[in-house]
Amino acid sequence: MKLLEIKDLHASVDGTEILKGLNLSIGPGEVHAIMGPNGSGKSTLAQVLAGHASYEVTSGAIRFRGDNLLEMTPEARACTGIFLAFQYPIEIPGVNNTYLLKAALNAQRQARGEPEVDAFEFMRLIKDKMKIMQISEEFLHRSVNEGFSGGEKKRNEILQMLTLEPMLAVLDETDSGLDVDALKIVAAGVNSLRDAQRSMILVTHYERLLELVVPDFVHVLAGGRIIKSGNHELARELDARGYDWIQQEATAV
Amino acid sequence: MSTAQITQQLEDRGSELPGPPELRAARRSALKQFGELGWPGKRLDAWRYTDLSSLGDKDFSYIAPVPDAAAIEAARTLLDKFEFIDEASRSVFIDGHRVESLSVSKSGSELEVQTTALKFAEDGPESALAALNTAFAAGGTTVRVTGSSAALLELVFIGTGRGFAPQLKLMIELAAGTKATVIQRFIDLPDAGEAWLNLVTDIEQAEDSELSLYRLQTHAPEQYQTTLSRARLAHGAKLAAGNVEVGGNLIRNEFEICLEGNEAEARVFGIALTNRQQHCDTRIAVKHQAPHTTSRQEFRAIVADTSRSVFNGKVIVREEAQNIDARQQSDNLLLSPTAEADTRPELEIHADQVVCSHGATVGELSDDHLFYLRARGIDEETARGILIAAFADTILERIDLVSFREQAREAVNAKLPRQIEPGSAAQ
Repeated sequence: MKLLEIKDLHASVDGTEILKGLNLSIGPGEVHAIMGPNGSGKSTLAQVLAGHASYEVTSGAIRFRGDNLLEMTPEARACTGIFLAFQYPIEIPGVNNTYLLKAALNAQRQARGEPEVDAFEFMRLIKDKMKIMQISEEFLHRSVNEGFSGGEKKRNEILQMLTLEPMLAVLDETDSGLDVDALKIVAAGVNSLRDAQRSMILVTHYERLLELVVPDFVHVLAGGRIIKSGNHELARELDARGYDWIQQEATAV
Repeated sequence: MSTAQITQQLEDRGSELPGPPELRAARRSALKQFGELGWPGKRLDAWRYTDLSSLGDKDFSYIAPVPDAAAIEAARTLLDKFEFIDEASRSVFIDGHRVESLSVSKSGSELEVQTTALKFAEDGPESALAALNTAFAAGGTTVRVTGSSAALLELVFIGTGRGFAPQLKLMIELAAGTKATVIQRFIDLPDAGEAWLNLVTDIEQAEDSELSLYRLQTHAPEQYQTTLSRARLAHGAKLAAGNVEVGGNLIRNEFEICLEGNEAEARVFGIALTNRQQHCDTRIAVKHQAPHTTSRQEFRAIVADTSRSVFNGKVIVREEAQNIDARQQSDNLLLSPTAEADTRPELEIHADQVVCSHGATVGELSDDHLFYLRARGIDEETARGILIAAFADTILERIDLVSFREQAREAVNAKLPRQIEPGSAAQ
């Protein structure tokens, strides 16, 4: 069975249709990169998967592990194993970073019928993950993302992902705005989660992340639909040639 | 109850009030003044959003009897369930009467708490509530801090909720160079009915003294409370006043702070949580009367249902008070479309060398914040609770006494839509 099955998805924001019949299916353990020009609907797809209320699904279906995802609240989606690494992680003044992580982990464990972890167990659990993401303990005690640099915010997102161990991780331009060193850290975090069961969607503009996290499939999203799919070679070609040729090719068909 | 009926109470039962006969005349004259001033309400600028005239319709008894054995026992049971600060001395009041048997004096603390003779200001009270307070004041309590080590005192005001309107006077005096923390707690016996506590606190801070004055107001739902705290700060004196408003029906908490000596400093901060039809009004007036004085006012309100929260912060800078620094900020979180927050800064500046600022915000919980938490698996109700607690925490963090801060946090938490386990705050 496919992990994620998206069929003929149409979605709008403020009455403007952004996704216009998107189809995508993802099997267990697969990493799919979604590339495409600005405004093609990449972020919309990510937000729709996470359940943001501003994005209205007008038709189509999304099944995740066989369940109808569109009927689920954002928290239920998270608990069933979907994680969105935000393109612009927001600052939440006054909410402790560790607290959020632990509350989220325990909410998900509770939903799965697993016992909650206490503070001690929690720290033991995230210690290695903090090391991978090069995040210090001091950093954890600050307010969520408050005063973090762009790179720190993205690393924090990946730390959350590693802690929550989702079945499907959706990374919305996690690589944008990162310098080479930060990109390597993020890639190391992402790769550490890869296994035969977990799947990922990497939404990105650039090929450079894909050199570090090698995708199984690459899709080009334009005009709200996937217009071409291929393997890692396609990403390299896009990097070299841009998107124009592919859009022309698609229109010609 | 008309003013005439209130006057009748003083005539009929005035002999139950303490003090020598000459005080009777002062009481009568204060009550006459109250009659002339009338119940405070919208016609007065300082009471633009709060009208107390409804208090005039209540049949309160302004002379609360000395608590009987049953009331003291009920209070003891209530106190047993309470967590206090271990190292603090404690004075307990029931309906405005200080109850010695419930009070605790910790050895080594260099402070005195005494029931003292009432002293009425010679120029007379200037507001209606202060006048009423003078007319019916049941006794004065003076807290005097003289020692070299920091004093820690809890004042616990318990209401029986039996239709009394105790009028209580308190004096807090800090000798030069002394330090004290005074916590005021307001609670009521279980099943308390309507009552009204009118408290006037006069604070005198001598040179370089430091007072932390904390207030945790968790009244029963039907309580009215009006508080006026008047503070005078000499050279280099520092006052930090932290206010946590959780309970009650109608609450008015007012500060009048005079920075009389150079380099005196006042920081007043507070958080109010209101729901149902609660009404909570905080007014802070700081008078900068000397150069190089500093004031901070920082107030937050979380307003739910059809409740209403009022903040009126006033700063007055006299002409001779050059080089002062006065700031105020009021932030309000509305949790329902029918909730109301009124915030009103007032600056009256007669000097040129001043740094004065004020800011006010009124808003709702951010959808983006909510979505972020929910996208991590936290249910909506809990997410709302976390965000509300975080909003309050900015203020609670200003409380230096950690054990009290935790108690204040618990009181705030207990009123949230969903209980938040401790530790949510950023450090």
